[in-house]
Amino acid sequence: MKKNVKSTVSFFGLLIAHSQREYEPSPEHVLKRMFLPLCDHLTEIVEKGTKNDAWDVIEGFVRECHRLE
Amino acid sequence: MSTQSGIGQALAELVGRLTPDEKREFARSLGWKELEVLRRQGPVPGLADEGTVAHPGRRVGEPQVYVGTISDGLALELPVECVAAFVKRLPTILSVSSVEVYLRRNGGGEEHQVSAEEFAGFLDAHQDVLLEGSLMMELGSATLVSGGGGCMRLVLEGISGEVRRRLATEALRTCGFDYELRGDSFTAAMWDDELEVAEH
Repeated sequence: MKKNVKSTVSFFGLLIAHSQREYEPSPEHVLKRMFLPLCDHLTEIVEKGTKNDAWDVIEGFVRECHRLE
Repeated sequence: MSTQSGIGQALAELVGRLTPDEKREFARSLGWKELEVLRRQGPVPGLADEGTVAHPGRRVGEPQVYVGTISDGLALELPVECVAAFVKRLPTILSVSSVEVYLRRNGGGEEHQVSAEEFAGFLDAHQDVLLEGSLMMELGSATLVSGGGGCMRLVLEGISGEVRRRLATEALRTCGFDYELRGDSFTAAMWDDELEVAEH
């Protein structure tokens, strides 16, 4: 898997991991440490990646979602 | 949190939008007693913003230190001054000879392959990204992702619980806590300068 794809999926996983904490992370933390990096990664995938990259990201997101079940 | 003050704020906003005539009409039709009834009724169901409602008993905001198990590894919130010391220990604890690093800078990615011997120097040279940027590191079958500020997730697929405990203990040690974790799942969080540990 390409590094940028794996990194994108990893940040989605980091976001999910925060949703399962025993405390409530601040909106600023979620924005700065997860959403902004995630948006940065996704922007590059859309602008410079291939359709396969985009598909791999979605599949990676789904794998992370399965961890919630 | 949606509270009585939230209702007051909403009412103030509503009244602020009325014309002078409407305000007079409002004051005539809604007396103090009606306002008291509204205040006692509390939040209006369905109007509360889910994102701002704190779960009773849960702390809000970031702990000074957090080390906890997740389904596939560890979640960490470390003070920035502890981050480099902890990350530098990873190749040794995970017994890997090289680290693949993917870091983000100016909207683009950089890939580096770094030997375990050169890893500490590499981190010193890229402290800006380690402490405030975003990066991913692959250490054998382990993957570390960091959004900066000490916010990290360490995926440890196929890595023993013993190594997981050792990593968590090491994270606490780099933050000045000499506490050996023993459970299969645990959380250690520092709030108000006190470490709270729960092990299962």
